[in-house]
Amino acid sequence: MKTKRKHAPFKKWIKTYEGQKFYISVLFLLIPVLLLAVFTFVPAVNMIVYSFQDRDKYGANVSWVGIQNYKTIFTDTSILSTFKNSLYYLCGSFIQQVIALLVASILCSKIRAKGLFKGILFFPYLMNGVAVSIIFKKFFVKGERGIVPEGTLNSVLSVFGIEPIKWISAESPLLANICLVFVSIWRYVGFDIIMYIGAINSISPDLYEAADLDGANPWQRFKYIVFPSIKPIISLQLILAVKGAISVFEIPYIITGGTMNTSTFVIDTINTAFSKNKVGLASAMAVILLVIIIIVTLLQKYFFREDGSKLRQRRKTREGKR
Amino acid sequence: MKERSNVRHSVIRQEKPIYWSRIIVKTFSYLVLAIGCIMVFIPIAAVIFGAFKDSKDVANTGALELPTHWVFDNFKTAFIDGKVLKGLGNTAIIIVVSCVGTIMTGTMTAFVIQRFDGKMTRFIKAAFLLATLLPNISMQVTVFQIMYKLGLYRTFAAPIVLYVGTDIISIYIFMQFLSQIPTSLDESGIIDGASYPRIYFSIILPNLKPAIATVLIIKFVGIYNDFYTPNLYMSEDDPVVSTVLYSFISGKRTQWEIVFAGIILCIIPTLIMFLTLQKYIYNGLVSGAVKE
Amino acid sequence: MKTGKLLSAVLAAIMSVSTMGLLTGCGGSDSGSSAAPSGNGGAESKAGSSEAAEPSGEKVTLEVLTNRTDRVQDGSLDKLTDPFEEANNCEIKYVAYEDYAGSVSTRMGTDDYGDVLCIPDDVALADLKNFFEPFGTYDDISAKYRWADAKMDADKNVYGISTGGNAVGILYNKKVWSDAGITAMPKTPDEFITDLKQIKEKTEAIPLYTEYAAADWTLNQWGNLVNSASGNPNYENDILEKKLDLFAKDGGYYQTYKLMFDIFSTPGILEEDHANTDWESSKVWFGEGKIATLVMGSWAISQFQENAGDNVADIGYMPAPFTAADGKQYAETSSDFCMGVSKHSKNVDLAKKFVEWFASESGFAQKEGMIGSALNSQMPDNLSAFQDTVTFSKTSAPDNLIGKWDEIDKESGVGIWDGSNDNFKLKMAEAAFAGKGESEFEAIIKEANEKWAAARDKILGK
Repeated sequence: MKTKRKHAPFKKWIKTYEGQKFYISVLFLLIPVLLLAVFTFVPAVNMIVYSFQDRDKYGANVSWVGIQNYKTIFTDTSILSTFKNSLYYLCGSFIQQVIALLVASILCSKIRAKGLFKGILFFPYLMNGVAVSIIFKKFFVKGERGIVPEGTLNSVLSVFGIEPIKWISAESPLLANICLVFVSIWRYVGFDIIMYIGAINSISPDLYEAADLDGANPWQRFKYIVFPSIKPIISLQLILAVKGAISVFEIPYIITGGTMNTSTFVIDTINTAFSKNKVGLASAMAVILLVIIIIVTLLQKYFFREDGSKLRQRRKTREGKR
Repeated sequence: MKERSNVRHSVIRQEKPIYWSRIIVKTFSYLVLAIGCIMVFIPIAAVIFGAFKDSKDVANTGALELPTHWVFDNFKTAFIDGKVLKGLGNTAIIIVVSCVGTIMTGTMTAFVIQRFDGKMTRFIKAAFLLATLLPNISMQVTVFQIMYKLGLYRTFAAPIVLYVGTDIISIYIFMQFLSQIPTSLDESGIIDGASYPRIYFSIILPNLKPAIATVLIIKFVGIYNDFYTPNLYMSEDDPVVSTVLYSFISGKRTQWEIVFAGIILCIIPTLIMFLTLQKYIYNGLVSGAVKE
Repeated sequence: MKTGKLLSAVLAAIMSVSTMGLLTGCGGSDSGSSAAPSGNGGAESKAGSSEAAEPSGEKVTLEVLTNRTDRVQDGSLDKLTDPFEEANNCEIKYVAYEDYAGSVSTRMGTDDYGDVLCIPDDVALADLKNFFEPFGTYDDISAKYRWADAKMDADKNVYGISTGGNAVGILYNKKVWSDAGITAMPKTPDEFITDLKQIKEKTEAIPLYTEYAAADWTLNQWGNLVNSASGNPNYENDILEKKLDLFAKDGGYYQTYKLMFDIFSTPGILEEDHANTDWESSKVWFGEGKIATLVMGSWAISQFQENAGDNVADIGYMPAPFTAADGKQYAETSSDFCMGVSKHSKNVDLAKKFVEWFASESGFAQKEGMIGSALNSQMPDNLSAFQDTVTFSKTSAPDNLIGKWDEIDKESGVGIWDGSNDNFKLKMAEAAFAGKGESEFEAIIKEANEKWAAARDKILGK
């Protein structure tokens, strides 16, 4: 009897909206929160713990080493030098933004076959990264006299009478990295173009009309109308570019495997963990990347919150006008 | 009336100088676009031509020369022996399961967090937001250890669990969309006597369709092109698209004509999707990025 | 309305791709399982208890992990194993990996790493007991097999038996070398470089092919020459006991890597495009006489012979071009991969039986032109050029130093056998390619010396 009495209110309670809220919350959140904990927070904590240990990937030999791993990172020149390579990608991203802005403004002017151009320029972004990397591995082949024909780029150049060039070689790490950065631009610029087109299209047409009336040339139009309006997007893009530049992995990993001075911090981290079997050191490297990314993200959140609200306001006013 | 004609007049007066600069600008514009398209095409053209060459042609003709005779066997070899078929199949399985999983967990999480305001939900929301700060790529050093302790290493479950469980962007997109669905809709459901599960299934979920479409597109592109996760967690016996392509050039003799055919086969699904859903892809990916 | 359409379109697209995938996926795995049971240990767990317990039951399947993708693909390993499968009523399933060390050591993070496997070299000797079943003590095993100390821990338990061994030396195309007018094989680094230059002048062939695109393992082929260059079977132990610099001027490491550096610094005698060398194709080019020389272990000879077509006779193998102080040339013989039995195998006895059979009776080593692992096996024919060369296998470490070499190597981060892009070998090679000259070489060995000495002092005490 007693239990029944106790059950009855519970049964009733669970049917009330209050009760529903409770069990729905538990049911709906159980799996996502579990996944979040197991695959995001536990590894994050482990990463920090491991970074003070010397351990292999099997976790068989664990010993505490204090900050030794961090010391190694900041004294070992070969680890630090991969950050130098990130600078190439960072410069590349700036160039990429300029190209994207240029193309986006062109595509927003009166041009025939806009959709076609947009589609062609965007498609590389959708292509499988491994496919892109292989395509460019072939693209930059120097060739071997009598054995291996020259790659795509050199055979194009040979039409113009230019001797084959060693694109990816130890002689010139600069050139090798530029080639890889080119691949990165090739792959990602389409996405930026679309972003900028979206931003430019959200500019009120009234502004253009006014500019036309004033007889502004395209450059003036860009400088005084387009650029100020899409500044928030540009700053977002630049911050994303920084994040991208320090976490480059796929393109150099597949094209050069990190040889010829083209390694990146992430490639080195993965190699340290999985081929050199130094999980402690790799965790410390991962923690450093984490810290950098957190700083950049916080900057992004800070800047973009401000600019984002402006953007939204502008949209609202525009919509209001209509 | 009068004013307007005046304006027109002034435009006409200035027409001549503008006309010339317009031509220059137009020419420049088309030139930039043409160069852009050529840059996109040249590397791909070499692949397309190469895929139809035999091994002799690959060795003896320039990368951008047409094949001396067209060969189609490369596609068959890549498809069957090269395991492209298997890769596409496995990728499809992973995409479908991950998409269903993401939509279920993502919408449910967003629903609870967005609709039931309380200490607990606020805390959980903060946890999800905090997780966006953690760089996925370097976390794998330790995620790996957990994966094999759970016995998921070298199974399909490993990538799926990661695609579903660490995809916070999707939850974010759902939350943004939910905030635009007026709560009066839920309330009208409550007035009709509907339970919360019913409200979720028959009011919230249908209204989230645009967000679901966006998430599906982002997921498809992301998973189809991911190399890092399957390379780290999946068995060589069960390749996905990316790892199949990678296996073509890592180790074994690189038979470029087969590699090229394999690349084309792997890009065709992307191309079809792009051509049919172009507009939604642009919007979906952009909104995904802005919300990141 | 619009969104409804869109959603259904997306779903339809995904569904159609997925059904295609599902259908084909099933087809694929079906055809796969008829040839060999699917992976992931399903086969083993199904087979359940061992053969002895259930003699009439299902056939036991042993999963064997190997680096020999070529021999698995051409089916020759399967064929070779037929007698064993028949005699023991079992099935041997070979699983081969291109990136063997990487793939297997990640797999070893789980309990599922096959029944028998070639022991990856990045497993520290002290950890062997955590992963493998012991075969017996050193004294027992060394009575039957060569290189018994290769996978032995400090307690002198042996965890792996060699699949065969190699003499170290240099692969060369006899025809190209004689076309270049070279009559006597080089005996010193200088002679070797002179000969390569002569090949460059007199023939069309690439004098020496670096295989640099696969640098992670091909540069280790140079590392294999170290003990031969030193001419001292006890060289590694001496470095530890006498606390020598790793790259002491008159030692094997210095001589070997100096030779590599000098050759890589001479552009004319190498291929032009180091980033795009192609290992498999180079086997064919070598037979065709387009490549004159390769630094490779003798295990490679048979593979190059197979790809040489009618020119099999042109494939030659010579000792490393170093002459010791006593005027003799030395060549080290060393073990290839050793096979071990997983601790988690459900058929340990059968697996051990297989390993011993593979080492002594399978004929694998002979077929591959390797030196057999059984003590009574004969030297292979392809080492005929080694008549005047003193062959030796390095002496095992004294009891107090067992496993210390590897430990110091790992601790120091020098990475004697590591192939990562920040390894000293790759740094040397790339400095040489870039024409950076002697000083860069000295800087690299200085750094390695210092790291080594610090780690040695830490592990062995000052």
